[in-house]
Amino acid sequence: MKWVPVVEKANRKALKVLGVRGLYVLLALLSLLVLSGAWDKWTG
Amino acid sequence: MPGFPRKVWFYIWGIASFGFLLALWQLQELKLTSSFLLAWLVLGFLDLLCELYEVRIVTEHGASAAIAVSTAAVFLGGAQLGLLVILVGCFLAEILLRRALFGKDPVKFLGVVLFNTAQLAISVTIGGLVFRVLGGQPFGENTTPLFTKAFDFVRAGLVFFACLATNTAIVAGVVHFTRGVNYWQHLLTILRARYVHILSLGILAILIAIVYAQSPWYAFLMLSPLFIIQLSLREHLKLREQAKQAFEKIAQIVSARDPYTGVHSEEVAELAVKVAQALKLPPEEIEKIEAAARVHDLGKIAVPDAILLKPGPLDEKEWEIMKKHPVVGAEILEGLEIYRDCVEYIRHEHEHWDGSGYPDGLKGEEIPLGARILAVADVWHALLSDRPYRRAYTKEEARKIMQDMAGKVLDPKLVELFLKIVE
Repeated sequence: MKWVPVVEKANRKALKVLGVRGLYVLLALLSLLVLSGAWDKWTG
Repeated sequence: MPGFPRKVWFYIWGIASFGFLLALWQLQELKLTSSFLLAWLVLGFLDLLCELYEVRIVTEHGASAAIAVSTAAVFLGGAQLGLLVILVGCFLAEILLRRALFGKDPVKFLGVVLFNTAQLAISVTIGGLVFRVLGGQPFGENTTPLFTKAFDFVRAGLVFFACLATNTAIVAGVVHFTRGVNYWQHLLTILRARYVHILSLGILAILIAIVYAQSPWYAFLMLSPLFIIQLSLREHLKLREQAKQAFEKIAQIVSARDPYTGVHSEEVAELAVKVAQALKLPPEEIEKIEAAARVHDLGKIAVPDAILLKPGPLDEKEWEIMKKHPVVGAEILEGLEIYRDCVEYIRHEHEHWDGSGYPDGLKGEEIPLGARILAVADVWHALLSDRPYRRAYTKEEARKIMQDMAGKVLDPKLVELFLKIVE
């Protein structure tokens, strides 16, 4: 079961500044960071 | 913070932080063996696929078959594997599913993604604890085959119940805060909406674990029953929606004989929803009232044009025929599951507060609340519209008439509230 809130307000400014693609790039970088840390930890 | 009241944000970030801390606590002594890594990858991927196939069941609640995969992960590897599966499947799926929200409100997007991931992390951790307490052996330590004794199934059932109960309770909590609905009533509505789905997923969780224990790759065979269960839920909801739309269309066609009633139903529905929201009724109740309002004149199918469009007052015989329309409407709709709970509102919409109404002469609070709300919205809209036998009243005149009707025809408290709303 998940919470799926109704979208009420639009914040266009945030979209212009970062954009949905920006989010993907940000997440990819974050994942790389976490994975490299995990690799170091678990491979000694 | 934008979008939600402060207490909602407290709840969201509280759950997110608690989930994060629980995950840290559980994963601090994680030993990644190759078999554990494979289980993480296979079940994480299955979980992601299931999460992406989400359907909205009731207001603000999405359901998928993923809980079967995450619980199977708990059966196989305790809370640790369950958590890792959630972190891959749920977190990635949340980002993809809520991406539209990111463009509109990034803070809310982050809140929803973290909340949903964390609440599932809490659920599998609790499931994992139940698994441990009842003697379950996590991955690697498991020396005996899974599900050999009857108690293994009992334990699996209790673990699934713990995961599901925690998950449902946390999600119902956030809707309670955002919508101001009664918590327990709402919890019951969610469970009623999908108990068959839930039972099937519990059994499937056991099957996934058994199949995985045979060979990890066989787990992908479980995609078929997982999708079938989800597809059946989706189709069931779609059919309900289509049946509702079909009956609303029929009601509109019936109303088209009298140009006034066509838009009337739409506008009565809008007004009734406003009253129901002001009364802070649960979202499901508001949906029922709206559904009833949209088809409340369907019974006029049994009223001949000569009576329906008569430019003067009706005689006694004609009035008897006219009085049958709420009963006819209710009889048409009572066989349909979607209208089962709101058919009473249609039947009793013309009951009067003092008991002088029809068809059953109910009075006061004997009349269902939904029917009383419909009556107030219906009368107001009728007063402001031109009818074959009179012109439309002004807002001021309608207000006075409504006040006169309060306590005789209409619920006085609702009239008071309604007049404040339309102000």
